[in-house]
Amino acid sequence: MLKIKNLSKTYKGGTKAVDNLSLDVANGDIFAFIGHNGAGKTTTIKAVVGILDFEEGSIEIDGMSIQEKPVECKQITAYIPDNPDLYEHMTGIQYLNFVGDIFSIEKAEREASIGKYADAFEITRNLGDQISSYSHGMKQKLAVISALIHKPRLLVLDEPFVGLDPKASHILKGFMRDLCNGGSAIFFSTHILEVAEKLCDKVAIIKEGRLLVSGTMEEVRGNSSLEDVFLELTDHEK
Amino acid sequence: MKNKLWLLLKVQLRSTLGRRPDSKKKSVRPALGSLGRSGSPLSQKNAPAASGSGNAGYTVLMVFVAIMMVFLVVFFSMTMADSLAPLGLIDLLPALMMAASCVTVLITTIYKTNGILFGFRDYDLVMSLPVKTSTVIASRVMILYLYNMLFCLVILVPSTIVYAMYATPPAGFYPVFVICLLLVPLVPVIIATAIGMLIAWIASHFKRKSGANIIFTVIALLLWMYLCMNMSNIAVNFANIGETLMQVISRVYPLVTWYTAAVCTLDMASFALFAAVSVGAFLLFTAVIAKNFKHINNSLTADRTSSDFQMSSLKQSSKKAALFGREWRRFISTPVYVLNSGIGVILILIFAVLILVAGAGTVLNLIGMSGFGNTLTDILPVGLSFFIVMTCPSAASVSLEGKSFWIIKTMPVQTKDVLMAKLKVNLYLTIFAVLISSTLINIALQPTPLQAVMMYATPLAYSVFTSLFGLRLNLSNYNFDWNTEMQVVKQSMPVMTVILTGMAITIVPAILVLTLGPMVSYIVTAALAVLCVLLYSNIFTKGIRDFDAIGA
Repeated sequence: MLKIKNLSKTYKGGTKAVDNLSLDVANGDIFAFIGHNGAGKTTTIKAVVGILDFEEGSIEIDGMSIQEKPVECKQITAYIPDNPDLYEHMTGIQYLNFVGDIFSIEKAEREASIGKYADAFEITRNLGDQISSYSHGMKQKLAVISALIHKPRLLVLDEPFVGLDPKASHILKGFMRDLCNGGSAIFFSTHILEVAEKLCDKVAIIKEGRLLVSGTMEEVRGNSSLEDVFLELTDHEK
Repeated sequence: MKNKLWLLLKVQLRSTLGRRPDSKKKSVRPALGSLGRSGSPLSQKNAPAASGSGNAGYTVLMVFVAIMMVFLVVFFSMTMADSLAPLGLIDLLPALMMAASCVTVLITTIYKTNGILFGFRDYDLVMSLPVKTSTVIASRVMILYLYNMLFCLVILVPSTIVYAMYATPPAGFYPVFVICLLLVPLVPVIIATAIGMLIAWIASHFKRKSGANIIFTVIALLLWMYLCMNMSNIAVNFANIGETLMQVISRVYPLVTWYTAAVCTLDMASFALFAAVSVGAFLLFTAVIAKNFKHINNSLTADRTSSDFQMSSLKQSSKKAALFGREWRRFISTPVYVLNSGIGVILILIFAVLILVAGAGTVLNLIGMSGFGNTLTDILPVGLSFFIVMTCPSAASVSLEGKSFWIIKTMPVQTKDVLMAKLKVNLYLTIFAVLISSTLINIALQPTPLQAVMMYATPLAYSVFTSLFGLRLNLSNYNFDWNTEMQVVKQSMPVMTVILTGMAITIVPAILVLTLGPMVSYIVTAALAVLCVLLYSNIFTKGIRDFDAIGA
């Protein structure tokens, strides 16, 4: 579903954020992307979802290049950023309906999906209020709902559990599993290694823009915990 | 205290002037870090860089605006002084200019209150810093004061120099003037802040807070314009009414009397009174605000929530309609955006309705532009366009994407549709205004068929040109790092450039129409049509690439 080949991204000023990175996320995978702050996770994610351009390498979503067919790629992708800066001047329902229009979701399906996810995250009664009145967690829930209602084939999340309460995190994990059971793929960054260990099938660890290790959770972890592996790799790899 | 006040002031000045921290110089983050907090939400992480030429261009533009304003003030002051001096009424000049600067301060501060003093974006961060609330208030009030001091400098210094040339006052005049100059903005800032707070407070009680805010502020602006027109009529006839003008101004704003007596006659009692009232009122107001700051801020900025939504039928739209709806909501939900970018539409409609109802002669007399005679129907197509060039939401539409830019970048939409939606908001507003107002004026003035056609064609050409020009400028000079919308809607380089260019390309042709005839407006309309084609072609080729290259 997602193929990253030899991706490199250098910012103006010469900082190389991502260096020759290659990853493969298959249908049904929940793929954790782990690294220190500033390791290049967000840059990679932003390149995948079409926010950042890149000079070297390629990114393909369902066989289509994000650079050559951006609209087609974005039509089957959903993205949730680490900080949910939404349209504060809209109400929650206006925002979700806007997303529905852009992704051409049929009216009946749209209403059913919004109802289902908003009820699950317990924000239905707040949907008529302006987003500017929402707490950080409510904005995060709204961002999650907006990502799920169009049934993406690829869901990309940057630190999705930050700001969510334990119940909402639990519900989100359930929806993530449901999505993958339906054949979609999930690629997400996290610092919560316990979540990655329990939820994910595959994992990649990145440091200073370079991939240290990638594979199934069992392959990477071996007999240790993911935390031990992560600390060992990131501390020793210079 | 002083050090922290200076640090806060420095950060705010950089932020409100739209300057990003220069990597080669000491950055904003260490400044905040020294206040006890690092890694703040003000962090520039992942923030897209604004266009490199933006700062230099903005500085040049501001210098140009200041020079133009000084030129106009000198011109106006000398014209007045030539008339006043022979009548022995030269002391009216400082009085009028002081009143003018106070009105300017008043009107420019009303809608700055919410954004600078209250409801600023980094409120949570600033209030959590180890800084006294009074220091935060002091830094915010200082910003308002410094802004307004600039207006007072531009208006009062040149006009006072003109006064000194005519009145040749004694040496004591100069130090007294300098001290008074520093005090002039204080009371208008208080009055404007109070009005701004009142408007925001009333609006906060409405479900549609932004709409209420826009309506009340427009009413306040129209009242101000009505007063100004009356004042200008008084000023035009000052030779007949002499000293009564002073009495009129003093009745409205008594500080003018004390200021004039202090500056012109060096009356120390008036000087002391002026200083004591200005400083005393300012300190008292600041103390009251500081004591109730958190409560007032919460009252003014709180969103009314009903939390009683129930799912019902949703309206389905096409992608293009959804993108237009997004832009339109952005426009109408931001009072400062509507007031700054849409005021021309309100004014042109009022102007046209007044011409239809009261007749062209009355209206032109009211705004002090009578005497066009038969040339009126020739000059009006360009004259109406003056209102149209003031309406340019597209010049801030890219910058207003702000920190939410990631949304549109990750959506399956064509960039050309996004840009077209931005243009449509501008075009719909101005085209609607032109069609209504030109029709009303054609009905009222009964021009020739060619003049009637030009009454539509010329303003429409300006409308399309302004929309395209504004968008093109904003694509090249965007700023996503603003703290209040006012920074991009009112003070940004694209907005200022469009308005100044618009003024130049309407005023100059209007003068040429008066001297050379209506052929000038035909040529200008044709030239604008050609420019529109070039700009459209540029935006939908290079402009699309520019938009796609912006990171979020």
